[in-house]
Amino acid sequence: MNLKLSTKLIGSFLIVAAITLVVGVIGWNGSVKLNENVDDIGNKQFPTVQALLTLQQNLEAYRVAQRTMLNPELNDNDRKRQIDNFANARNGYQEAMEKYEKIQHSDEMNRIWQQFVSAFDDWSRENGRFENNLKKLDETGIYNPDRLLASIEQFIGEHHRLEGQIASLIINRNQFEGGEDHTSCNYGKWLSSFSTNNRLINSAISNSKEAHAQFHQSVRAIKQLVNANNIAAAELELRTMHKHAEVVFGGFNTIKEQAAAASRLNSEMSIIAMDDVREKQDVALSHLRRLVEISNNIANDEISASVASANFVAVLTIIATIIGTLLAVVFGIFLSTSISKALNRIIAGLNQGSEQVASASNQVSGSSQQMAEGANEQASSLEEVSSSLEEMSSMVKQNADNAGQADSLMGETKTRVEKGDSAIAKVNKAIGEIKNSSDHTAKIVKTIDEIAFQTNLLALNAAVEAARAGDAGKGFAVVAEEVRNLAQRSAEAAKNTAALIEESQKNAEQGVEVSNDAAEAVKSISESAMKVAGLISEIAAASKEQAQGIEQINTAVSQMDKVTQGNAANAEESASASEELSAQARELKDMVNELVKIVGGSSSENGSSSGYYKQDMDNNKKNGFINVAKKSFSKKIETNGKSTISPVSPGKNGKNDALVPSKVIPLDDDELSQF
Amino acid sequence: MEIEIYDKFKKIIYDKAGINLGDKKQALVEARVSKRLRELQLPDLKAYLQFLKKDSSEAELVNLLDVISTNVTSFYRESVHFDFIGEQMKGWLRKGQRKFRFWSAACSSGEEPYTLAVTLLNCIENNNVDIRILATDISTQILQKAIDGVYPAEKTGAIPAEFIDKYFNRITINGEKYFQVQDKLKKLITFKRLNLSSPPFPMKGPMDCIFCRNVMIYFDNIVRKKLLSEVERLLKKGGYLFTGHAESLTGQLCALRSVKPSIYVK
Repeated sequence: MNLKLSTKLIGSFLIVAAITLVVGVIGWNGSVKLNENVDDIGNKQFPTVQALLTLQQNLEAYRVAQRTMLNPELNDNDRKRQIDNFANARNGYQEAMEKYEKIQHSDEMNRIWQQFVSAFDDWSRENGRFENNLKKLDETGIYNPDRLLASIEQFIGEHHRLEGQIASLIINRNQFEGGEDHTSCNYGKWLSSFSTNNRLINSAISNSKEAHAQFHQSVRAIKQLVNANNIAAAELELRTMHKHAEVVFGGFNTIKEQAAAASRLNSEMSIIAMDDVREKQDVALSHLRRLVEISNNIANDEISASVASANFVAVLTIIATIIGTLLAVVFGIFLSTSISKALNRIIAGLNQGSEQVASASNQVSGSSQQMAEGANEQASSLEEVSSSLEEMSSMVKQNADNAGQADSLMGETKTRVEKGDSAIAKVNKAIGEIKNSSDHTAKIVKTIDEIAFQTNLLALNAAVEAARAGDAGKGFAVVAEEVRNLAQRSAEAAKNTAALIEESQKNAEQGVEVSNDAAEAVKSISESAMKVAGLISEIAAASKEQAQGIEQINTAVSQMDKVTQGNAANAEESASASEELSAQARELKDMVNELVKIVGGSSSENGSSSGYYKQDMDNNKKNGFINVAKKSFSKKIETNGKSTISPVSPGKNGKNDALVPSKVIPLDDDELSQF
Repeated sequence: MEIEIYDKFKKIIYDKAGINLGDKKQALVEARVSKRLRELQLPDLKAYLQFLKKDSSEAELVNLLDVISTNVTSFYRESVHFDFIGEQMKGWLRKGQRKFRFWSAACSSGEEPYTLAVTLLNCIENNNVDIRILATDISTQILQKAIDGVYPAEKTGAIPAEFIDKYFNRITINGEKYFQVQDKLKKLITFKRLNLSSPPFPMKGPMDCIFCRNVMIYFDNIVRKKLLSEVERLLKKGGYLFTGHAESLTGQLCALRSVKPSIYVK
């Protein structure tokens, strides 16, 4: 697959993302469905059931309260509590109904609910009846009419017996105990503790209360009268007693009537509660139960649907997850293998390439070093040639100048030679004249010689005369001697001069000859000079041309010099650049090795950069060359990779291992002075 | 290259080494100083001039002179000179001379003094001869090369094969073949740095031969004159001066006489 790495990566991750999305959507869908079900259960069915159960419970509570109410033994507190219970239950079921009605239900449930509502209305009606009766019962104030009735019957009986006993007393003198105090009779006692809100009873009691007291007072009076044997009075009193008794019994009857009415109400309520209400309630409750059942069924259905869908979603999710995981793994493996395969291939190529680059750059570095050195050497040679040429140029120039000068000098020489020629002629003539003059002079000299001879004689005479004169002539004698000396010297000079002149004459003769020769010579000199002048002007011209030629060469060489210097500098720069390149190639190799480690987990170190040298050195050993490992000049070589080829290179003395010149070559003059 | 900068370089180089660059050597200066720029990591020649000014130890000046000086030499360069010396040497030995002093004034990378040493050793028959060669140059770097005495094989072609085996060791460095000068040559030679443009020199003389070849071409007449008067002082009577073929003493008023082209005698 020829896809870009990024495309592959992005594609694979997109696929994995899509799988994740599908799994997520399935899960989400399931959870939404579950949520719907749970929502229906939680927000519809559960509240429905809850409302229905609350309703049911409250209906039951109402009924319980109702039944409790039927208990005649209830005290007021219990009764009140039951009334509260009624209200609570009513509130409860009304609330529950409202709650239920707020919830939407199925048609079936609505239908049943309607049935329930009508049953409930029936039930409520019965309850209304019950409560009506209860109200009536409350009006009677008699909650236990049977007991009241029994008490009243007892009181009636007791008072009837007391009447009988009084009659027996009067008639038969049968004494008996009690009956004298109206408060100590049962009725009196009951009265003291009895209270009611029943108006009729209260009026009956209050109407009969005085009569009752009178009745018992009559008993006491009759007893006293009998004891006093005043029977007549007793009988009279008996009549009063009967009157009072009638009033009392009248009261009793009223109470009895009220109790009977209450009893009737009671039994009616009992019937309502036990039969009518129950019947209606059963109907209503059956509807409720049905509703609960339906709701429960719905909830159950939904739960089982939820469980089923949850299970389905779970299964689906598991399947999707497994498929997704498998796909992701497959894609991952596919991607990884495809990438790492390509990477491995590339790395192998890189590895090989970087090794080749390293070795090649090493070679390039070496050869460019050599080239730089060669270029440098060439540049130096050319510089020397250039300098030499300049020197030569100046020499040739000087030659040309000299030749030119000689040329112009030769021109002068020519005229001078001509002048010499005429001069020689003049000399010839002058010599002739000299010869004549010499002849004249010879005559004059002869004359001078004679004069000298005579002067000598005279001086001799003078000397003799001076000697004769003695001391006085002493001075004169000296003078005479001097004059004699002079005369002798003159004679000698004249003789010499004569000889000289003779020679002069001879010379003059010879001179004429010589000057003739000279004239000849000058003539030939003149000819030679003409030739020399020609040659010299040729030399001058040649030198000028040569100078021009050399100037041109010089220009060319200095041009070459310029280029070569530039080349040398460039070569050197490229040498150091290639050295740098070589270092970078090694770095690249290291990096590739690192990459190999990362991708392949192991490094493939082979072919160290020093291997090339080793090989070479081994080869050279065979050729009789000794390897130099450690020499003062080979510091650079030891660091192998970075070696500069030249063993005597001054080194790269940037700032680190700065080569201080004075350390290399001591600058002291001691040794020099030994030479 | 700006002319002002070139002029500054020219002046420094003339003042310190007597090398007269003339007006056309901008390329040379630029090319050779660029090595220093690279090594010092300086941006341009102006910066280099400032660096040079700040360097009170003058170490960089030496480096500058090292790069600016031209070093061209080879074994048996102008072999006529060595033939001539051989002849003279034999003559001197016959006359009984036993102490010999030679001076290679600009020895460059050492080929000249080593050739001289080989030539001299080849003339003597026994060891009771005192031969010393002084080899000087202005460039310390090139002197180091000379002291190391290691030459690529291709540069030793002019040396007769018999001498190669006698006076050189064969070595290999990085796969390249080299010849290394043996100690029997080295011990004859004293290598020293000497600035030929600043006489007087500490040497006393007398010298039998002085090699001053292809040096004066770099000097102007003023420097040349001073150098020649020192050469004259140091040479013994009958000693020889060897110059480059382009160099002529013509026009120089001195006591040296031309014997052959580029060979002069005192």
